[in-house]
Amino acid sequence: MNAADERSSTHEIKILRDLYEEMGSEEKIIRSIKVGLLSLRATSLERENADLIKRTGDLEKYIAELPHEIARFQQLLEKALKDRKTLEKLLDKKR
Amino acid sequence: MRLRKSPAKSIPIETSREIVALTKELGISLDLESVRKVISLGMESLNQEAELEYALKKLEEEKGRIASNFRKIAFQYSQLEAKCVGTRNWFGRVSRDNRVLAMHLCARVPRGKREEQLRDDLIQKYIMNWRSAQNQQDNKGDTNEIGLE
Repeated sequence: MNAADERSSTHEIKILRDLYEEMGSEEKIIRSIKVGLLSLRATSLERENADLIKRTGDLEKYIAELPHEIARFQQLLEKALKDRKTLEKLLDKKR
Repeated sequence: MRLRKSPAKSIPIETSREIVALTKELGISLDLESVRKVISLGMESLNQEAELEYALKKLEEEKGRIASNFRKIAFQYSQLEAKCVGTRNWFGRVSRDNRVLAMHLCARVPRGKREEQLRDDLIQKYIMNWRSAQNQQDNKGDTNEIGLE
């Protein structure tokens, strides 16, 4: 879309002639469009907020689980490091 | 030849920057059908323009608070996850090293009962158990790193 097209598409609205006549005035049309768009934006923001709250909740759940996972791997790691010492000792290997 | 009356009429909206901004924000184009739907939504709305603008302001503020909290939690999560992955990978590396050492140990003759017991336990843990864990993983179709527990 070139600049001229963009200008024309963002600075005027095309409306069906029947609807235009039914609404009566341009002011009323503009007001209805504005209210309609504001309602849409409000709905969209409500959804975005709900989605963010859900994602935060999910992360909090994972955060609660992670320390146990870390502790489990640390325990396994300690055992594995101890085993490595034993294995090296058995192989008379000094590192 | 008689020209047909155009079914659409254009309305200039230069004065309403808000409409342009809102359509951009919502990612919608104001074609004939969208305009019809938006107008009908506007007419059905029980709220006035000012009320909606106030509600939007409040929702934006709320979004800011929620997003800031989300960023804090996400940072905390990424720190913990990095620690978890780091520990798991370290454990994986040590386990693989131990497996290699255990393989070398298979060729050694133990000196005494205690050494024999230790040798058998370690071979069991790092060679036998490893293999059965590997088979279990293959059957599950899991590609995660095998952990010896």
